[in-house]
Amino acid sequence: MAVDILMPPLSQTMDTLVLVAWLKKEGDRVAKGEPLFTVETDKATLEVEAPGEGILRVLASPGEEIKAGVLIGRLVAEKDDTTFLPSVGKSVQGEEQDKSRQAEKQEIGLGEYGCLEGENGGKPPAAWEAGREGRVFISPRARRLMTQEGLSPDMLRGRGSGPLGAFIERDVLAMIQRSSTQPATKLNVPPAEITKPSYAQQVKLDLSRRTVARRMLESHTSVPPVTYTREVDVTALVQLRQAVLRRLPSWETRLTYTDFLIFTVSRALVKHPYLNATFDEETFLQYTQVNMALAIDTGHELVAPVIPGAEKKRLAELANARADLVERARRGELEAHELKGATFTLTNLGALGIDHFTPMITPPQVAVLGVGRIRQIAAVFQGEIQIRNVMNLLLTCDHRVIDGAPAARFLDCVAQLLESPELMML
Amino acid sequence: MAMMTIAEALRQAIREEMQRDERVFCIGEDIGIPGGFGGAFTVTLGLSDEFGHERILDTPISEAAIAGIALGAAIAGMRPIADVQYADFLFNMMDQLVNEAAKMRYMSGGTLSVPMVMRAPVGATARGAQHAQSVEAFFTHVPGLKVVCPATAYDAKGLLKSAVRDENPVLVFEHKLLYGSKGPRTEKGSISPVGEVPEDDYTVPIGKGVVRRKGKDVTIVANLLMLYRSLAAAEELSRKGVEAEVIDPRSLVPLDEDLILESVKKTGRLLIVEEDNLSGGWGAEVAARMADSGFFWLDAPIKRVAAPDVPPPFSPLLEREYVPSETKIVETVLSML
Repeated sequence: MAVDILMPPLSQTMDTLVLVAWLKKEGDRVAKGEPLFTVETDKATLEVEAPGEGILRVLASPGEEIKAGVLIGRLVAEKDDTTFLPSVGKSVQGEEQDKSRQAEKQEIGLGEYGCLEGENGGKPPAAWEAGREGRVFISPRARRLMTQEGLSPDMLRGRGSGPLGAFIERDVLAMIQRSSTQPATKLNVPPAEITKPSYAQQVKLDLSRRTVARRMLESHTSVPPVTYTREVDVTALVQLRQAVLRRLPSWETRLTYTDFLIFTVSRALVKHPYLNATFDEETFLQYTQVNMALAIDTGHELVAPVIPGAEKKRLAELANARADLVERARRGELEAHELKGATFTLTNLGALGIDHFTPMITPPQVAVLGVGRIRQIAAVFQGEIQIRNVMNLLLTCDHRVIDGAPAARFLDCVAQLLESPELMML
Repeated sequence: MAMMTIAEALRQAIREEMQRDERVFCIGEDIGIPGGFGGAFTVTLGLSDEFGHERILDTPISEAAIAGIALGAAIAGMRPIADVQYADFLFNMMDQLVNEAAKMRYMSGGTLSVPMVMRAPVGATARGAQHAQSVEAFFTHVPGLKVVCPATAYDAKGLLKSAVRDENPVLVFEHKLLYGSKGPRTEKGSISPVGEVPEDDYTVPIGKGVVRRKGKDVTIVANLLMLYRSLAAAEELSRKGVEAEVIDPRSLVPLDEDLILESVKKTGRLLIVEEDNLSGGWGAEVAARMADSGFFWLDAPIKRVAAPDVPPPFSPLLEREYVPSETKIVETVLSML
């Protein structure tokens, strides 16, 4: 019996994943558990193991964007196994009924086209895949439309959205729409007078950047955000941290302000669970456990790995967890599960000199706390002008479920803890 | 207007044609015997009481004789309606139908005509390989024969009347699960489309199909029982956001190619559903014609859902797998988008 190889559901946020490479070749014998292929999720590149053993039959090519649950290959018993191969992109997920029907079908040995296998059987569309490298399939209807619109088939690259990756009418219509929305065509200016600005390089967005782009737009268009700003006096915290560093100069992890913030914010969230929550337009879930996502700039991208159960971790444990995530994020070694399940996000741009910004919520989370630079100012403190260390807290909330007063109360709770770090011991 | 089953509508058509034209008569096995079913599926029930045994003619079990008598009578100026208990038995009549009936007009330079009707039930209904085939394609292949397949009561009456009045041999394929036969001839699993049938004299022209459901995303051409499976599949597809246009060809010869082409021009996708075996079914002909005249309108390869290339199985479980299902139609359409 052949074993289906399905695109695994590795990403919580993405419908599609990119098949990066097959680690085995078509026709190779594969043992169960052997690394079989790599996929790129929105956050990381991951290896996937073989779900069974057999001879590999490849159905999807590297570089393709494929939905989770879709058949991308098979492990068959014998090298000359003619078990039918359905076309790529055909989802084998479905209702239970469909599954049982398929099982029934396989038991009595009927192929996709209802023919007995081995006989006329199959007429595998997979055969059409063979030798198509570099060929672009265009449906007659799409080609007809292109001719009508004066478009050249040379403009098409890669795969379309139709069966077998053919370019079909909707792809061409989308192309026409894209070109018609370019404002230049509407200006009545002789083409010679338009000077194209020169550009340094054309940047092709990789999957993770496209994911960020999509999610940021989603956040911007679907969430009504309000950002609340509060300046906090962190002079005591600065002194506390310096005292710790002096006492434990050779401690394995150097304690950062971010660690204090994770510690403080996770405690405050336990008292204000309405911010430690997700909202999907119907269900507003408030969590008792704080899964703190930490926005990390890896030098070339933004990731937000999660410290689960932050509210129960000691400061030293948080520091170790944070240091480990940052290190592995920079090396691109985060695993998919580490990017999932966040209930709140913390983003600290202080180290880069930013005082004020408006952080963006990552749906379905309902809030994000931004942190600015710690700076010295001349401030009125206990009736005197003193040099104090201050820092801005920037809390963005989804106003659909979080009103101003509860947001302010949470911010006040965080501020109190940061201004009087001795309270953290309580 | 009366509500009728297909069996009743066929009976009404026969009755009206026999009243209208005394040359019209019925011939078949057990179609008029006292206490019988009125043929295998009750279509001629009671007609021997109305018209007598000289016009409702019972024969011995000899399909070759039925075809031969009908053929001779038609050439001699009569208008026979032959009842074939199961369409599978048409194969006993092949010489009469293919070598004689279909060729007579051509070979005689138009001096002879063969205005005969063969009524034959098709479809797999737990009766095994020799009483279950959908044999339309054997006859769509033969020039000189017309082939119709009414799927509603209205069409059953109108098409049978057109067949009786046609100067050429016409095969009328009826589906066992669509008759709506009652009493001891009630078919298990039948869906009996009862429909309005005008009491007056009307005909449905041979060679004209009809759009049973409008849609913009895919054209499904399906006859007889498969029409109803396709309509159900279209509803399921609609819930998934895909609007299928479902065409009932009603006649396979001549085929309403224009109707199908117009639909394909709109949708860009064509699926043909038939209960016959896949290879060489009438659907293959529709596919070939649309690949020819509709090629530049197609946005996806033409697909067919048909029975696999095996004889109809007797096991009900296997038969269920053999006959194209709503699920298979839905899956196939989704693979075309």
